[in-house]
Amino acid sequence: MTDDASPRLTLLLALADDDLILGHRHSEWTGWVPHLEEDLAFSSIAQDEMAHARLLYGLALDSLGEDWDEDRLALGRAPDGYRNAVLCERPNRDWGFSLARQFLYDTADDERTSALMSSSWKELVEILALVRTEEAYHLDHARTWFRRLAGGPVAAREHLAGGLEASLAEALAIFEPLPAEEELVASGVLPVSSRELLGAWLARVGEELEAASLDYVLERHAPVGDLVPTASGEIEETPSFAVPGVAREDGRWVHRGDFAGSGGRWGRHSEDFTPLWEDLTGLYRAHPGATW
Amino acid sequence: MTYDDRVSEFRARIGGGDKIEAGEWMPDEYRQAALKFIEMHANSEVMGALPEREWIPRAPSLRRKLSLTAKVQDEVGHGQILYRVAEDLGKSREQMFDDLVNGRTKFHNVFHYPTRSWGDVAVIGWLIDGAALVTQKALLDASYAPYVRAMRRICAEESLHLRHGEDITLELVSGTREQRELFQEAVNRWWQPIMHFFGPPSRRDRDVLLQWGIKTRTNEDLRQEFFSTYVPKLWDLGVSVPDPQLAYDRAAGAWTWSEPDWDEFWEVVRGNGPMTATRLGLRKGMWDSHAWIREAFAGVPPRAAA
Amino acid sequence: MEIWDVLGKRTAGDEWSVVGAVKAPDVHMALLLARETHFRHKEGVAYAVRRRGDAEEALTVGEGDAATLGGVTDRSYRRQEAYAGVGAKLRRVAERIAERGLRIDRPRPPDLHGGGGDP
Repeated sequence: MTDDASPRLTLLLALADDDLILGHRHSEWTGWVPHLEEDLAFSSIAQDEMAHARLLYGLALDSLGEDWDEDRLALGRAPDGYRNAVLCERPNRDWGFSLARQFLYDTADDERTSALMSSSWKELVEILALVRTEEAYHLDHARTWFRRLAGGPVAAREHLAGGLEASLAEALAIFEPLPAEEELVASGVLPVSSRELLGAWLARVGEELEAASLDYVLERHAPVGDLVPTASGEIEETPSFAVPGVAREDGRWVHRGDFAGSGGRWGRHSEDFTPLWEDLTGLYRAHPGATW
Repeated sequence: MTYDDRVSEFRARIGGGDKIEAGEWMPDEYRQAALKFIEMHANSEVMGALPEREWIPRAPSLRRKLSLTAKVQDEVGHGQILYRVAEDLGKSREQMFDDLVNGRTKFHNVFHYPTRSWGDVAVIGWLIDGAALVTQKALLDASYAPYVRAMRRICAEESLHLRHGEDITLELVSGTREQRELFQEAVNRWWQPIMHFFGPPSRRDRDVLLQWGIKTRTNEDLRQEFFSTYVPKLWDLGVSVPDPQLAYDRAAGAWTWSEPDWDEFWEVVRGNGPMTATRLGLRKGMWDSHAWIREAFAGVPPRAAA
Repeated sequence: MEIWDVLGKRTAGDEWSVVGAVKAPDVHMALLLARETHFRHKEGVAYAVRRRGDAEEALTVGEGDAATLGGVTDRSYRRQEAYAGVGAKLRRVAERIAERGLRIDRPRPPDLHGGGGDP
């Protein structure tokens, strides 16, 4: 289904799969977040992401055959049919990692959904208006925690910085150009290119990190021109996928170089995806046709 | 007024149906009993989240993935509410958590057992939540008012969980043969822990919690109500109960049943259940490795961003 | 870490009333958390926090209103209405099981709950 997907479906799957897979990872925190009240807040964020995926899958179903439903779409595809960015599939580590990932992802999601509000695709705009209403809380959440940890004792800063370092390279890959990107931009469905969105996001993240004196995380990302760790975290001789470098120019952070190869947007995942996929889809696939 | 006089007066108030508020004078024994009971209830909510949360990643539909996440979220919420009530009786939440993860305090036996399949999600969501609701409704009449207020909110959310569990169960028993088997097999495995849930038969004159009005009904009363509510439904759904003695005696107006293994019950109470060490270990690991968050929360407010 | 009382208004015309409390290190975190601990099921149209021990009027009111508190996307999976038909569903399923001869027909108490309803 994904091989001959229309440009619109390609866009929908990227947005929806990001939300589903990250929502799945966020939901793995429910029940044991280190602070009780935060367990409740973060669980709501997890549910929001999965609910947003559900809305987007609903729109996708409009253009799919009768033999597709929301569960088959969410839980019934082969691993390379999922088009999420690799960042979303990484297992949770400590709270610093998950919080850093939430911060980087939700700022990225804010940039792209903000741009998409001007999309020529009206049904998508309607859905994203709802999504953005709930995402406002996610941004507030990320900001509040970021400030508390970045302005806190050394251990808190270190855990946050560690999380940012571990997730930064793959966060850039949220903006890997989509298959059919040219067509999406030409038709006005995607009003702003992935490259431009990356630029806007990076400048914004750079500002926030500088304000918290955590910009050294950006400096540790590969400098101008060098290839950076691939989706698997290894720096390969001939990498299958590489993200741009970053540099500080004229007082703002910019990306340098280009994406190379193909990553999550083309269904190419890390070694962490298979166990996730087995958890996510195993029971659904074991009982074809059953209702639950 | 002597201490003993005050205690007598207090007992008379409770006997007359009066409710006690957080700031009021209370006998030391009452405060201890209430705190211990509420603390164990709070512990049970957060430990109960652990078996169920295992199935969130593996839920077989998007809707159930969402609803199970929300359900476990609510259990954590119940823990939050109850720890707050317990804190106002004089013990900090940090101390309660530390005691829990280090095995010094207890949580209900039923949460010391493993889950094996989606059938368990149905059993936990319907039968075990059903058992909990039977006992929790009895607490709505308790003497300690802050606990009663907490229980009102908790019971309202548990009623929703119960319907949710029932809905999951009905899909299984009306589904494929494999789905029916999933549910029956889970009922067979969980029946004894459910029988243990109501505790050994208690005596009114020996039960301190009953005397203080913290509990209002005997264990046996509650077990009988559970049987009457759920066994006919199970039988209507063609699901058997693995107790050959379980039968309703019309003449006596009560259920007869075979005693579960009370030795196992006491072993689990002592902290030797099949999953006790694993689950406490998970919580302790999280607690110890995230002391840095507690430190960050104890500090001065961060400066506003430039 | 402090205790913050959480206040809410069920409807716009209500006075503030205490609905619970959260533990948080500052007012921003207290508001962030209070929203989901006490209002995620649409329990109110406005919320606020007050540090335990502060003057009664020392509230800090949270952002959000009746429309946004408790979420705007489909939350039916966790609301009573979505499960209103479960009692009837049980009766239908029980009928089909009886038809298939799988019902376990043993003595039981008289039906106190009006036929398969909630306890």
